[in-house]
Parts: sequence; C-alpha cells; structure tokens
Amino acid sequence: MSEILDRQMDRYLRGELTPSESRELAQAALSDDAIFNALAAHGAVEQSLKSPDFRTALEAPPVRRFPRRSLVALAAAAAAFAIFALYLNSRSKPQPSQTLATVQPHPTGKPIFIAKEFTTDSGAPIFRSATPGTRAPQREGAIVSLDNFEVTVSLGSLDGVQKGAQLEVFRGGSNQPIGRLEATTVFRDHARARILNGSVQEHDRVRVQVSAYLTAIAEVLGTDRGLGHQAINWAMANNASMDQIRPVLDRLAPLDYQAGDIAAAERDYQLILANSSPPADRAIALNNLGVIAEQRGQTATARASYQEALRALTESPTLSASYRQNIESNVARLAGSTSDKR
Amino acid sequence: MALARDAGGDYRRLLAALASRARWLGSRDPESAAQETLTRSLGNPDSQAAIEYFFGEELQPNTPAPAWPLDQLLAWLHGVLNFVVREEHNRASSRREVLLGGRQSAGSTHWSSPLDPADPAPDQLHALIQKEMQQIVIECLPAIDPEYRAVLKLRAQGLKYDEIAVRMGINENTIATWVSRGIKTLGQCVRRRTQLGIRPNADAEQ
Repeated sequence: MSEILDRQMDRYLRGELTPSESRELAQAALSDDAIFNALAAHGAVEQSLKSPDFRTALEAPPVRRFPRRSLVALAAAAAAFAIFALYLNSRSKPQPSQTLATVQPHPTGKPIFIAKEFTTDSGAPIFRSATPGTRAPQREGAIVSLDNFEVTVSLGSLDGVQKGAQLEVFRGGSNQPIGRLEATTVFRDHARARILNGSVQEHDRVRVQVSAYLTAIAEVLGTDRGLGHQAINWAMANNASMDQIRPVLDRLAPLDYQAGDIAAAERDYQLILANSSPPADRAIALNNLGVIAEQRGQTATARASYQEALRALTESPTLSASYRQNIESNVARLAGSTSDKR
Repeated sequence: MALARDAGGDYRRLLAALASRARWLGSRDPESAAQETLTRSLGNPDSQAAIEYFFGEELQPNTPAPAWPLDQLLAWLHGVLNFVVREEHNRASSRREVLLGGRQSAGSTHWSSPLDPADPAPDQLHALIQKEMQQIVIECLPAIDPEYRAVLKLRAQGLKYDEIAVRMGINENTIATWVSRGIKTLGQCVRRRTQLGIRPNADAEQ
C-alpha cells in the first residue's frame, strides 16, 4: 500500500473522504489486496460493534496482560515483523502455521505463557467458529431417512463426522450396536452414509466416534468454555483415553487462562501432566503451571516447574528454538529467588 | 442458479478482483464464483446500492451516500465470495459421489440433490455472513489492550466520544485514538484470521 493510499485509508477511517475520493479508494481496493483486506476487516469490526453478541463478549473479563510500558521498542519491532509477515502472507498462499506460538508477545522480564496453535493433521489451521445460533457438536444423532442402502443421519461435520468415518447404530435404549454405517457425504449438520452391516431403520440412534466428537468440540471452542468443560467431564466419565481428550484440553487450558480462571487452567494442565502426554505437551503444561505459580507468588514452585519443562523439552528435539528460549527466559528470570512468598 | 441478467456487464474490474480472490480461496472456477458473488450481492438492496455507488460507471451529482459504507461492502463481498466458494466445494464433493452411484442422468451437466443446502435468501445470507464475521471479531478480542477494550465497550453501548471521555475521565482526543487503535488492532487480527482461516471446508473437500 503506497503512502498516499495509506493516508487516504486513514482519512476514510476518520470519515473525511469526499464521495469521489471514496470511489477512488474503492477502485484502488480492487487492484490492491492490502487495501481490500484492511477495509473489509475494518467493516467486519464496525459491524460487530453493533452486535449484541459482541457487546456480551466485551463484558467478559479481559485477557490478563503484563505491563509493557518499558517495552515500546520491542513491541514496535514485533508489530513491524507482524506487518511484514502479513504482507508476505497477502502475496502468497497461506503456509501451514507454526506448530507452537506464544500467547503473549515476548515481554522481557515477565512470565511467558505458551499455547498450542491449533492445526489439523494436514497442518492447515483449524477454523470453525462456534457460530451463534447453530447447535453445539453432538455425540449422538439419529437416522432421519432410509433409502435402500443409503441413510441420512442427523450428525455432520459439526459433530466431527468426516467422509469415510464409521458410525455405530443403536436401537431403543440399548447400548449394544446393531449396525454400522460409513459416511459418504458430509454436510455441516447432517450426513449421508451407506450401511456396512446390520439391519437399520429410521429413528435408530447413531454415534460418532469419541475422538471425532471431542475433536469437533475442540474446534468450536471459542468463548464458550463451558462446552469444553462439559466435554471433558463427559469424556472422563466415559473412560475416554487421554489421546482423545487432549485436543479439548489443549485448547481449553489457554482459554481458561485468558478468561482469568487460573484455577481451571491449572486443573487442565495438571490433567495433561497426570497422563502420559507427549514431551511437547508436558513442556507446555509445565511452563504454564510455572506462570500460574508465579502469579500466586510461589516462586520456588514456578522455578521447579520451568526446569522440569526444560527437561521435557530435551525429549522433544524437534521443537523450535524460540520455544525453548521462552522457557529458558522464564527460568533465568527466577534465578536467585529461593522461596515462595507465602 | 440462473442469472437474471448479465451481472458482470458494468463491473468488470470488480469481477476480476473477486475472481482473483476466489482463486486464492481455492475455487476451481473463480470466474463463476465471482459472477455468483456479484449476482447475489446485486440481489441484496443494501449491497446493490453500495456497489452501484462505489463501482458504477458514473456517479450522478447529488447521489446520496449508500447505507453501507465501503468497508462494510467489502466485508460483505469477502463473506459472500467465501460462502460461494464453500458451496462450490460442497457441490463438487457431492457430485463425485453421485457420479460413482450413477444417479446423474446421461448427457446432463446439471445436478442437484435434495440434501444440498438451499441457497439462502439475501437477508439470510447476510445474517450468516454477519454471524461468521462477528465470531471472528469476538475471537480476536483477546488481542486488544484493556484500555482499547474499555472504550470499545462503551462505544458498543452507543456512547459518543465526549460521553466516553467524561465517563473515563480522559481527554476526548485520547478516546478517539483508542477507539481507532482498538478497531485497527481488531482489524489486523480479523485480516489475519480471514486470510489464514476462511478456506473451503475441509470436510467438503474429502
């Protein structure tokens, strides 16, 4: 975006453009993706300001942030890098995002909380917002119609059903499967499936696999943390494996932390640690438990947690160096402190 | 959907820009996606008025400004285009299966299924797109500083800058700056999310 257009954008946002200048800017947006994207994003935000959902979201507790007055230069550098990255991104197809990212910009001298970036198996970022007005993912649905060897079920991609996924069929109140289906075409809230075996009929119950359901929950977790907690409770009550629960926990824990619910975040990370999680997950959990301990004034506990996180990192050499630096930074900051405040 | 008229007649540059974006979004037929987006946009009175105002051949003197400002129109066009491309992928996925099942009549290139989602009417489409974009904005809220969040909260309640200034005990110019920066920060986050995130539904591609 040229300097002139940049100035014109600023004037537009302040409402100072004449009609003909607005039309010129509109024409410029057609040939400059940066202008188009900037205006479109601004339009989305302005529209959201009028939305009751947005107002409700604004009422939620803000993210806990650390003081940053002494970090203006660092923030400026980070912003410049972000703008450069956006520029590169706008010029090419999006690349798979990094596996790990820090939630906060690097605040020298302050604890660094780390969260996983959520990606699919193919590396593409997960994006499926929990659109208000649509239902939450369901573990169980029903056969709504039957046509020879093909059925329509009331579960779809929203519920974690993927093409080729197998669904178990149950009848009445029984938990004994009477048949099995294979999803052939998947829509957002329903799917078509062929009958693999069993004699099924309309209104029979169908279930999506636990792992698929929990992944679907993880994907829609936005501001509704309650959904995540319900899913975790349900999964644990039904003896789901940690591998199945982890996608929800990975997402829920930072959300709990961001919402200021430190106790819930601590429980989430403890749960990850209590099970045989991969070293990378353990490192994240230990680092973040250290951050939480620091916030409680438990310096010695925090230091021990960070050091354990470093040890977990050594078992996962493929992780990025910057990730290790964040944990080392947390350890270094606490060097010299020996006891908890309380 | 049959075109009622040549929607692209007067809007070649707009169509070209939309086609370019459709290609980026992964459309297999970006020109058709652009045409469909424009057709749907011309079917909505608000977006139609804005398109004619900003992209029409000539602006008549004393033409009143449209209800939708330019940024809202572009957000809408992006949303509709994304929706159209997703529909395209859904159809492609269904068609592959039907061809395997031999349901398509011989010689016919048209296919529709009773299970295909119906084309939303303009107002429904608007609501869908609004909801999706709003959710992205909401998810970006943690990205903004508390002071920006505070002023946006008051602004979202309908307060004017001077009223916010009085309530917060801060200079009105500062309030204006914070609102502007808050929106800008959110905008950057939304831009990043829409560039990274709004891609054709992976389920439909399988």
